[in-house]
Amino acid sequence: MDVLNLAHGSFYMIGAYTAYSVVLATHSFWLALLIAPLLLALVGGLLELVFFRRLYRHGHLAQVLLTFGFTLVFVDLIRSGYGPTTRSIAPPPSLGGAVHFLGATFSSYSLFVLGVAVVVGALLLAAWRRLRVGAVLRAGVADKEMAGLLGIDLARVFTLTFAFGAGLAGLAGVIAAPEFAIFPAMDASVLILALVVVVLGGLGSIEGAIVGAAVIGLGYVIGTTLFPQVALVLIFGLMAAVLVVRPTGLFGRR
Amino acid sequence: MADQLERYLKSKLSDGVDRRDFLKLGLTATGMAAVAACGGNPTSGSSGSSGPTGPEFKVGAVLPESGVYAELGKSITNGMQMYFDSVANQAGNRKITMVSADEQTALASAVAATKKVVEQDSVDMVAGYVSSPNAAGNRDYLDGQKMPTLIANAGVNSLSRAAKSPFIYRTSFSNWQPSHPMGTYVAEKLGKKKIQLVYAKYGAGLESVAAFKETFTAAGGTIVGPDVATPFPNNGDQTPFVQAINTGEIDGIYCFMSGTDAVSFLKKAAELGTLKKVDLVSGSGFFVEQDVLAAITDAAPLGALTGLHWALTLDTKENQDFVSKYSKKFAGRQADVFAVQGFDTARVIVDALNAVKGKTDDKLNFMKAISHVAFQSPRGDFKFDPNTNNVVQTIYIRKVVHNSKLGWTNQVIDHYPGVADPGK
Repeated sequence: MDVLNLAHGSFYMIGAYTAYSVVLATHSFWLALLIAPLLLALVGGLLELVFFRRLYRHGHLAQVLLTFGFTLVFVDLIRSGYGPTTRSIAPPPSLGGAVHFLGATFSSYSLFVLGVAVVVGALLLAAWRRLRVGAVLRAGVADKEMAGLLGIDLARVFTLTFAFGAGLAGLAGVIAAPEFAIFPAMDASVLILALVVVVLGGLGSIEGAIVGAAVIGLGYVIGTTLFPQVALVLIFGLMAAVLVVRPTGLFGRR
Repeated sequence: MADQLERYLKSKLSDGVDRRDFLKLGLTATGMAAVAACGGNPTSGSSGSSGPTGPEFKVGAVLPESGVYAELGKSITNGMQMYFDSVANQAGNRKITMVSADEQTALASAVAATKKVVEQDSVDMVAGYVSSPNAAGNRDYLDGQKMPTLIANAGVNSLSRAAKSPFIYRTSFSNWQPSHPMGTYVAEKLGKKKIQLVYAKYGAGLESVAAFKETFTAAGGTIVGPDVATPFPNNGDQTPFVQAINTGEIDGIYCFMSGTDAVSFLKKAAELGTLKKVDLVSGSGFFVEQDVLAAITDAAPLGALTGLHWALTLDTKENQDFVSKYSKKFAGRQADVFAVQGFDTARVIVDALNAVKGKTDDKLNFMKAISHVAFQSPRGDFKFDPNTNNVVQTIYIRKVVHNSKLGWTNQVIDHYPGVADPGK
């Protein structure tokens, strides 16, 4: 879609806060897992219809300006609604414990997060490569005019894709809520890492995003644990090194 | 109310008061009626003849209104407002007004906020500073301006030591204070001699565990390495840090973390069952203060022992009064340690202003009055240490409990009175 959306972190944050509200009201994490992505897809779809679609023509800088504005608006909305206090929700009872294997202890919920990530990643990759909708999207990104001439309703495809992306960010927010704390700056904490992942993996490539996430995720955790002083240098250095060798990222084509 | 006044005036008249006295009474009555008309809030009608006649006394409150520390700033502001309101916003025949400026998070904005209140609003004194770098970073400017200043939170030790200033006093704590008695308590009273240190690696974390280590090792305890030092703030996974706790070889941990870091750390520790495998979870009080406990609820480390200069449950008349009035005044919001610090900061200002009868032109004389302020605070005995310009206070040893009325909270089980920072 070629949109640079800095408000994606906000969708993640709103997802986490929605999960907090739903869990507070219904005590059901699974319900939150259903409601938050739907809500965010709705929000994302509306924002695309009203704002973002006007900017496709104007290039990335205009998109950065608008979406950065939205991050400020969203964080203030969250703060005025929930206050700046740190919130948190517990993992669902069935995943609240720890499991032992290979002589190590793992939190069940962390394994669940890992499982969801693998499943979502695999589904996205399969849809992108094998399904018609994937082909349409690839065509739309590669050459808007040509795809339009072939009879694809690009406006609708873009709205739906944007909504889907926002819904995924909402899902990530729900999944992250029991693992981390919920607080008004959580959007920024994930956005920077996400940008690094995307740039490292290569813009417009799902394979790149998956590999980039694995490299940066492991790099960041190993870095903060073993060499805390240089953890951030490590991942940004890694990104710089990859960009020197492959300016388009690991899997980028352009 | 008006009827009662009329009757009272008539009775005074029939007692044979002269004309001048009657006028005075009349004026007072007008003032009181104005107050009554304003809904009985004595602060909103204080411009009557009974009000102060001296020049306005402006306090520049440099506190975070946005960013990660906004909540702390709000509590401190509330605490200050509550005390100022209780004395009808006046002292030493001067009306007190608060001028606020947003400290935010980074030093650049805190410097701008300080300059704004000092140069643009021409305040008579400055109070505030939640974060230590911001307090330390403004120190030279405030000292150079000879601006009377009260630090209402920032705990960096140096402000009571190498960087202390005759114009800067601290009403909150030094990082050394809550942790120093804990070393003695853990080693001597609990007899736990093998402790691993867990902390967020930044100024407050390092200074806190250093203070603990000082008394703990002096009392025969051994610090079991390696320390678990988490990045600050830690936005990533806490699992590797929780698992770095060497449960097999230690009696317990001593921890400094606060806010969001404490929340994510304690949750992960509860999931992995790590803290149940050690006899003792101890730390600085911020690790399990009310904000953290409210967020993690049932993941709270039951029985954890921490040191702090206050506890919600502290059973003194001053504290229970404060806690209930605070919650009534601010729509059910629960009092916290930051609100107490704000409340005491305002009280220091008021008592000092009264002591100098509102005359603050002689800054050193005003600072001297501040240094002599002593009172019963919600946190207990409050006075300043002439060697450090820092508050001398009781450190309470508190235990995490689940209370049927308050939910998860800290119960006071022991205390160390008169803890003073060792600066000279």
